[in-house]
Amino acid sequence: MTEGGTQVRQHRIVVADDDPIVIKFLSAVFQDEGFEVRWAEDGEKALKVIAEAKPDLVILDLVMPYHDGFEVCQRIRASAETAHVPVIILSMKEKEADALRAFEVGADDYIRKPFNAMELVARARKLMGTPRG
Amino acid sequence: MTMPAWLQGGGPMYDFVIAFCAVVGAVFLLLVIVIIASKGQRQYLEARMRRRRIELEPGFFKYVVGKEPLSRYLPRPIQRGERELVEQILFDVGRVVKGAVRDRSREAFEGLGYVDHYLGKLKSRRWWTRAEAAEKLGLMGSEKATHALVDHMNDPVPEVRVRAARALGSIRTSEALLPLTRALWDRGRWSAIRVAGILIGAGDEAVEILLREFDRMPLHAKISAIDIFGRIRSLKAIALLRELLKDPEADVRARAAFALGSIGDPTSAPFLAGALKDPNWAVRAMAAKALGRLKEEDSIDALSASLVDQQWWVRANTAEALKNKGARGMGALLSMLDSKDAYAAQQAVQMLQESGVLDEMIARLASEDGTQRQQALDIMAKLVKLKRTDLLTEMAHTHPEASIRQRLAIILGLRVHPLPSA
Repeated sequence: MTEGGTQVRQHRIVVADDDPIVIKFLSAVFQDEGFEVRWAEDGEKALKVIAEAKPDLVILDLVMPYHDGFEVCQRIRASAETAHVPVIILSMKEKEADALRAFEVGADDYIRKPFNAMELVARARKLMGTPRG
Repeated sequence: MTMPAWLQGGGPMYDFVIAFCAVVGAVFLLLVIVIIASKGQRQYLEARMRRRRIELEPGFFKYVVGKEPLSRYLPRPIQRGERELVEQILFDVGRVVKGAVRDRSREAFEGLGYVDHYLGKLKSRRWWTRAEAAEKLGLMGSEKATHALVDHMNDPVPEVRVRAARALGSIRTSEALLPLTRALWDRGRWSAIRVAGILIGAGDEAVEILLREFDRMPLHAKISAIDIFGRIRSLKAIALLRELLKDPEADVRARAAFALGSIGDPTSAPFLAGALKDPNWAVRAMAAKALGRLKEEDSIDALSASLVDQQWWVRANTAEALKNKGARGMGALLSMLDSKDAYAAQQAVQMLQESGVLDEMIARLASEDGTQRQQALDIMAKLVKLKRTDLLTEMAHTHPEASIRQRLAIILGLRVHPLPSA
């Protein structure tokens, strides 16, 4: 993608979720919105993909094999390279305590599943500073 | 070694054994071939479906978040053998998303004929087919199925009735939810817990219908409705619940108080504080419990007064509520150590112990701040007077700081070991 003759990198999102439907659905939705999507189906792979991809946003499930979403979020914040990356938690956990803990470990937003896809896109855009149009 | 005579070539027995072995071998071989072939065919079909899913899925995903008709997003028309595959894709999407996306998936189910297909199956003579059809119609969420599902709430088979009720709960329109609220009336046919569970799942839409129907309901249905308001934590029900604190039925008042606590709106505190003076002790107990769940401090005085309530359950809930009120609530509990009511004082000790305040007071025995040390000593003296020295005795033996162990030993009149020299 170019803008004024300068190479502009497509905004990149990492989706980490152990539910393949969520990964496939979000990949389709965000790709359609013009974002590049990388994904991981467990916490360990998520950390690896985030370190490699240097994303502009991470969408994290809380319940995942190896490292849960809280731990992944904590590690994202602990690393100097990724500390600034916005994180949206997308979880089936409904308890207020889980949402509070997510914010404590550094999440920027908390959305419960089942989720409203367009609301998620709007929140993601806001966090990345990429308004529609 | 010699073979038996009948096995030596030529005899009829020999021919029979050979023929028998050939037949058994052939059957066995045929079976193996059939098993391998069917497994191969299954794997082939599964692989084909996987390929088709990969081909069609992105189109469906784009359709549900888009605005154009389905055909605009699919790479090709859906084929005859893909009915189950398409159904599965749309159900999978419906499992993870809500809002407009679900409406689009409902439209796809209607447009592709799935709703009509399962409405037909709802007429089946086999009850399990009707039950499955009811469940799928619920997952599709189509209003078109409402009438048929309402009819099946009177199905002769309970399983079909329950699935039809659940399906109506998923459709969530007032037309679908009204028969469910009516089911709360019919205690003989419907379990109130089951129907309540379905209505809770329907959320605020169910609250609106219940509020509209409330005055007409019999008492047992009203009680279920109040519980549902609390479980849904609906702000829309707050005004009614506050009114119900004055209902002539004590059970209604108690449950309304509990529901207000579950909803957690702090502006309900004055109403609940008023209910602490209710003539019925169960209402007072529920009001105290509810106040403990509200994030506010204005009710502390009313709660402190209830620590001397005649009923132990009210006092216990009150003490717990004060414990939840932070420093001011704790202060009220500490002041209760001087209460003339022994039970209230004992309850206060219990709550102070459970909340860790007593541990903090014990630690203050070694404080360099004289005021803090004196406050801790005063509280220890009150505990001794109330004969609640269990924690103090334990700490006198196990506390990591020797000076605190020694001070506690003095307070409790235990034998004092001299402090080791510095």
